[in-house]
Amino acid sequence: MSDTIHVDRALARKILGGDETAFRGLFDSFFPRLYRFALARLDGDHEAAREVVQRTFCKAIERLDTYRGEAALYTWFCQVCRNAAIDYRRAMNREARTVVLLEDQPNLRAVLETFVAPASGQPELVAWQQDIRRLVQATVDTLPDHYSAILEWKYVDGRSVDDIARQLNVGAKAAESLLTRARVAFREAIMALAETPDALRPPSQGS
Amino acid sequence: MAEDRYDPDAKVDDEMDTVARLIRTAGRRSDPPAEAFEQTFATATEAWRIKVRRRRETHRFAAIAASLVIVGSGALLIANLTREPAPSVARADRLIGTVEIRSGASGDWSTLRDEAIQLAAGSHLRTHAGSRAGIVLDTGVSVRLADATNVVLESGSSLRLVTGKVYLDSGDTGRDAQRIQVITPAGTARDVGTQFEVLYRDEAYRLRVRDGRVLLSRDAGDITGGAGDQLTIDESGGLERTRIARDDSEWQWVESVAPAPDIDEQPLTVLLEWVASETGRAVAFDKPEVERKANKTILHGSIRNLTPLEALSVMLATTDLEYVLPDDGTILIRLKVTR
Repeated sequence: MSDTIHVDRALARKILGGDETAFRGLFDSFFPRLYRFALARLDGDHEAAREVVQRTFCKAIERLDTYRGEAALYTWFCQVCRNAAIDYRRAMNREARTVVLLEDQPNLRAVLETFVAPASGQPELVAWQQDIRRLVQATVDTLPDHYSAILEWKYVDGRSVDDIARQLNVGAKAAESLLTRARVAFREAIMALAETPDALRPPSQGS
Repeated sequence: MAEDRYDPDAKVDDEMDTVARLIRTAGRRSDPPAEAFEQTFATATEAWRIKVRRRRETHRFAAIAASLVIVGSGALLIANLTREPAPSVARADRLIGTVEIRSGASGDWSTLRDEAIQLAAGSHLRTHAGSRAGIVLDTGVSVRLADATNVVLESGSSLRLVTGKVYLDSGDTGRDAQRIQVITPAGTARDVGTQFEVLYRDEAYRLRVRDGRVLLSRDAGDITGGAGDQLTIDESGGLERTRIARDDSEWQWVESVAPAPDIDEQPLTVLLEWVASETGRAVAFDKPEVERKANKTILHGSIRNLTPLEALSVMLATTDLEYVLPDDGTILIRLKVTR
């Protein structure tokens, strides 16, 4: 993580210095992830998510010279986005509640354990699938872009390591090594949310 | 959740692999709409360019100011300790570059660094080359100092221009508000509810009235300048009256130190009125529906440190409206043109 923060501080300095490539790279990387982050906190309202993410970029850029590298830059942007979403809800006279998502819960383990055995019936299963899908996607969003991409290519698209190696223009060993590192990063991220990954096990159909 | 030697392509192992199962179950993350990407990119890029430009301006002048700060702050501290403070009559609002203050006719100059600092009657202020300052009197009158300008804030209603150029905007401070006067050896300009500029340099005097009326008193008698008048007095005392348009580019320097209104939770029309007042351009709407939309649009955030047109760009970027500046001297608000 310290390497990431070192890189992030350098990136922030470049952006503040007027490096257009650095700015474009940050925007391309952060925008889709922040959009999903905001969308989950605004009841799936796309118009609201767009406005909140715009404000997030404006505020974060204005304050970028206060970024000291205490957390990863994406985490820092997420905090700005979280506050922007709260402000938006207040301004729109929506229910002035703070949306607490699973990954925001301090005691996530207890929450995840409720997924193992919902009360009964299909609605719980559907709700569980939606929650777990969003939680996993949010975790993937916290990873560096090349990690999240290779995980989706491999496990969502079902592509072979050789195929991925060809796309990345690297050898199979290098692709396999990248996939391993991506898996480790994902596992660490999800472990940070839940001490017991078994808690993520879906409920049995019969329960 | 051990990761003992796994075959990345082994489907059977994958079925038992929590990482693979979770990611497969979650599926591919959805991409945001392309339109949201483009609009946000435009807004973020504009905010970034403004940020970079302002940082460069700050750094350029910080280097010059650095050597003055040590001496200046020490002198200010001593002055504060040994003197009963004079009543505050104004506050600094916008500082660009190096702006200095001293509390009386003698003493050392010190650099003004805090934009919220209170200014006492009798304060001397001066801007360096390339610098500007905006101050707001307690009466609400906005006073803006061009570069290479030296003034004395004699009271909350009187400013003595030693040299340089100042712009005053008494705005809508009300009929009963105390009027401001600008004193120079060549004459004294008193506002009658207006926006005007006084230049005095090397005994040459020029008064420009952008809006309202100004009474110019001098030894040769009084004369009134109306909106659009430019009165020039040469070294021999000869007076020439010419014209200057409200939206002439000569007024643009005042925009960079204009006091920004608080637009948070305010309708877009509040911002438009301010932009119109500062740029000298009337606001026009492309269609009645655009005007209705502007009336209903509520703004959020701050426009501090932005010029009027920068603020308008940033705020409109979050809506489906945009502005253009046609040749007729208006600011035309219209629906965004899809490119």
